[in-house]
Amino acid sequence: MNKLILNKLFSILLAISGAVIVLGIVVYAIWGFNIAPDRPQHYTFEVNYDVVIELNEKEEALQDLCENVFDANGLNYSKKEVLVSIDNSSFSETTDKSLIYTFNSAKTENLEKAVQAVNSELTKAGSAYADAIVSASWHTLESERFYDYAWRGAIAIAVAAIVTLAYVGIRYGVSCAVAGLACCIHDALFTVAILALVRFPVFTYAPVLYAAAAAFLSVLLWLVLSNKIRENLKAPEAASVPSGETIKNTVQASKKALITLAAIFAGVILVLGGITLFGAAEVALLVLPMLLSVAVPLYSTLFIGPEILVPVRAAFDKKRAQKKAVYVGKKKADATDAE
Amino acid sequence: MSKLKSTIALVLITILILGVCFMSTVSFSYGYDQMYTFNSIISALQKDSNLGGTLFDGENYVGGGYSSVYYPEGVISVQEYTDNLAQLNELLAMTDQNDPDYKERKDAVEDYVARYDQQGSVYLEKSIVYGDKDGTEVSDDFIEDFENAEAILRNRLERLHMEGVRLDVRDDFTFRVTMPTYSGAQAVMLNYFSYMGEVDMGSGSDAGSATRLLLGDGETIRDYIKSADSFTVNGTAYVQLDFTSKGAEKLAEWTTAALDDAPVTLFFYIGEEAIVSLTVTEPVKTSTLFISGGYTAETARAVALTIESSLKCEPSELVLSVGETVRLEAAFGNLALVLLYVGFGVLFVGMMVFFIMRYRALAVAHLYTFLVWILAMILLLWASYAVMGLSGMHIGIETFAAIVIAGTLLCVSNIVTFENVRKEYALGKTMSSAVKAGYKRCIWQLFDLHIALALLSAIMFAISLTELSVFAFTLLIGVLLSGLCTLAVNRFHWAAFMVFAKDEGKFCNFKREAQVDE
Repeated sequence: MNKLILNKLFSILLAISGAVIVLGIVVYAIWGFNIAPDRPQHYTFEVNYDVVIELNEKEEALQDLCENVFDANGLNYSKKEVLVSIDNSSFSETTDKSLIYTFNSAKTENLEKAVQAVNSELTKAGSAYADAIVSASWHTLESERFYDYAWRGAIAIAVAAIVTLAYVGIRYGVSCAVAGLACCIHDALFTVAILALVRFPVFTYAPVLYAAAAAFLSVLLWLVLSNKIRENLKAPEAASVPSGETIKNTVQASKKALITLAAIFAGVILVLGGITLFGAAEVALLVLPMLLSVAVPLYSTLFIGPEILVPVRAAFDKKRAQKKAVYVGKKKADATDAE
Repeated sequence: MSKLKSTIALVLITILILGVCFMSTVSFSYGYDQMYTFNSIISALQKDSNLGGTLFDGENYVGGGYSSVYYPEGVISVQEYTDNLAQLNELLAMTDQNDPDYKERKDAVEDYVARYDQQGSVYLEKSIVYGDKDGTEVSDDFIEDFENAEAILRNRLERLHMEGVRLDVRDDFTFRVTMPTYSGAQAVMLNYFSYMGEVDMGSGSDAGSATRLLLGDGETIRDYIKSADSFTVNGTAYVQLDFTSKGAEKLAEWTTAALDDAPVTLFFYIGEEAIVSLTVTEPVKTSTLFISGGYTAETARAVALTIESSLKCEPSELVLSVGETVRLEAAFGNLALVLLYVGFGVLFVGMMVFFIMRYRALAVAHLYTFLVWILAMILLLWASYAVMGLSGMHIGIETFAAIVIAGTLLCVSNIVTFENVRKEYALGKTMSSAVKAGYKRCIWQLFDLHIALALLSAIMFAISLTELSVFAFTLLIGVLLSGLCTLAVNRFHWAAFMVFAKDEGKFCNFKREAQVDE
């Protein structure tokens, strides 16, 4: 009865994982990830000015002027930068500067109105900026996407997982490697599938990073569990118990250790993400989704890996037993002795 | 270990840790009138485009990047248009209406206004962009050339495989190219990458008057040059050009003169811009040229990529000029790095509080191990970036993430060993035999764990690019050092500190089984 419930639970979890991964791939194929933090399409409002503005201590007044104009035109900027201009021939810094406001979304007619308002204020008779060379303009920007990084990253994770779990196969047995590989691939795919599905805003390069972190932690947690399983299977009392039962008992006994280990990693991510939330929200945006790279491997190590390991190990045990049964060397020797 | 030996070893290790810690974290000025500056290793390590900070001298900024706008011929900014028009109007205003030049200057103003058409934030020269001075729509030729130029730029920038590289189409008619500061050759790259047009080769005394390749009917430059690449050997960077048999014949023909006369100079062009000049003193009889001299690994790469993308992509007839360039500071703001250090400090304090509560004085052994680990990490990262010159390596958020993950692995590994020894000690063994037995119980588990994770990181590093490659590289160093520290360094520290303990059990907060039962 208990076994039946467990098998049913495993089937449900497997179906959920499969559905999430397939849906995630479909969503990714159609819309990709939500890469809003990278501003694939945005607008800028730029004011280029020379050293006179700085010498006259008018930089702040210029910023106030722009921001008041934005307010009047219903524009909300997401980033403000004061950048130093570079001389193209010597590639050294000049005394000219650019005040750049970035808008994630804006109406172009409002930007045009803002440019006209700022320029007329800058050039009007008796303007405080009359001595300076200063002008405002607005721009649309659309970024190009690079794909090399993503596919090379995916191949890197897959190859690394296979080679690493080949090592696991040598040290812990093929069944452990097969289940571990299934978990590792599952974790990497499941993590990025969730990100694609929930449309969580991520930087373009981040999903591969999260997948790699998930693969890393998946191998780590699986090795911790594999160590325990190997230890328990070698114990004398395990000889009289089916290996499947020993594995399940080991998972139950190791639950606390695995959850603690995952909690430590989660805690570390939370502290780092939490602190950067105050003053560097973009860092937090990059760090906090890594919690998914911890939660997914924990889920697969506890619920998916062992369920795959049990039948795989049973199949290998059966094969080994058949091989032993086929062995006729001793019988032949006995027959020769009898003759 | 005797008390004397332990004391000497611990004093030496402490001095070493303090010294490296000082070098890694403290920046200061020194010398007459404070004219020299020592920047700590952490501050001087190159940061990526997201992180950055000013060095102790207050002048140099590490991190961030540079951004340039490329204007196609016939496209100018509103500012340039306004400035030019203002100059013409000023000249006209200064001219008396009776002056014979007045009409000419008035026509110049009217011509200038009629020549351009405003499209958003740029002005388009009708005869070039529309293909006709009375035109109203962008010509198909311009659109095709613009799209080809976009594909060439994408190819060049993507194949750089660097974090922080970005290509934007600005105002539909210009390009904005962003390069990270750590690339080390941003000036050369931003300049070379704007070169458009067919690859060509020539021979002569100077680039302008050199004899150019005359392509026959149906021939393209690909019938002469196969590919371009770059590599570095013993610190010398080379651009490698591979020629077809036809190209090799042409090279031999041009360089044969080098035997009799003065040296021959070969030029390689992208459009009308000479990108490589090579002085040859003897005939070239090979189909591969290795060109060195004045190149760094990055500049050689920029040259090779510029040539290679022009060979492989559809050519563009656009002439791009580099317009306004600005220096970008850290994309995540300068506070990001400080907050990451604060976060790391908080985690460090949390770790020490846990170890002191759980293991009392044994926490000092862990502290020493952790400090050795983190300082070795910093030195190895610095060495790999600064000394080995690992291309594309830099400090980014991913570096911090990898350090934190590897650091957590070290802490967990130490906890595993401590707990194993605790169990052995509880059974009634002496501390030294408990340590021996405890380590014996977990040594292969920890060995397998570290080897498997190092293998995973190493393969990911070998195959992946940019951020993931930096993440994997830092993890690889961190995991290997974690294994070494937990299995060897920590045991040594434990033994060295244990000598001073009056009650070994109390020192480590370990109890015998009987005591536990009480």
